[in-house]
Amino acid sequence: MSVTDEYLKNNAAYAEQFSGPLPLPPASHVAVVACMDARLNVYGILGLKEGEAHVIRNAGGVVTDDEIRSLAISQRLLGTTEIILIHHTDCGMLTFTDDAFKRAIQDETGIKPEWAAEAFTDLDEDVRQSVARIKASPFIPRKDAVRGFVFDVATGKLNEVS
Amino acid sequence: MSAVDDYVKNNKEYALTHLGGRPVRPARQVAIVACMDSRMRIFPMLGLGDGEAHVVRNAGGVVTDDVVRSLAISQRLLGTREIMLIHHSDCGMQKTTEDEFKGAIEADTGIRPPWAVESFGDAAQDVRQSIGRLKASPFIPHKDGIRGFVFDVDTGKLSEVI
Repeated sequence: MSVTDEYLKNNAAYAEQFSGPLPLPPASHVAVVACMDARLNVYGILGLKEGEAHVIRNAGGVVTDDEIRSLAISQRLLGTTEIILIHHTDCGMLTFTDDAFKRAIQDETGIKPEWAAEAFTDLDEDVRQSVARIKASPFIPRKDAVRGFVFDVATGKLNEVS
Repeated sequence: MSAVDDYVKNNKEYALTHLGGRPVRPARQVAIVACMDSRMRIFPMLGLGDGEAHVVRNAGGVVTDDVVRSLAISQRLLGTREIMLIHHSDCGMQKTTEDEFKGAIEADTGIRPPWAVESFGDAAQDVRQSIGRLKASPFIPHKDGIRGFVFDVDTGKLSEVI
């Protein structure tokens, strides 16, 4: 049995206790942008319940055009007004460089990705970089409440980046 | 107090019972790609434990360059092999069109986004589209374990898209 099959079995048990439907717009008007890391259980970390907040995740929790697209939809169509950014300690993005990653793909496939890998060396600095990209975007209407954090995978604590 | 302040307070409690020391590589070698929708709490929905799987999310759960980037890092650097795609019923992406959404932004800001909104009509059809994009990408090495699902926000159940 594949892992996917196992998760499907878990979902059948989950559905038995599920009480839907909830409204589409997030109740707390928050959008979270976090790294995809397997140790970031965003619901546990923030105490998020069903229907409260959008959760947007990618490698690094970095702000790319796809995050801007998702946040534009979140704010303009679905009424969110606050943004939480979450990077974390021991992140995979700290362990390589864009050049080396793209070189390895090019060597193997003959094709160099046209996108940036978005590796970084300093967590706080990359959170600030992500905040700055949001503030610079003309497509995000609400920018007063953008806050950035680093999650410590050892302690489970969020530390705000100022 | 803003919602974010509440979440920061919730995190203090979470940290009391958090178990650190898990490795960066996902233990079950799975990457999940899902919509950002607030009604999909991925961890309980699939019975995911901390450290098991990467979770990549955006508006729609659609496959964009940023998702390909994240999955390339997930598979090539962090050893995942299976991919689960999850769209859902009553999705915000079904409530707008490319031209309507981009036209509204242009009317407000004077600037038309250079990216596609990625709105869609039929969730199952868009899951197939996302699988097609993954299979076509030269940057994703492992494509044998890709499966797609639609989550029903009324019942909490996942249905596989064949």
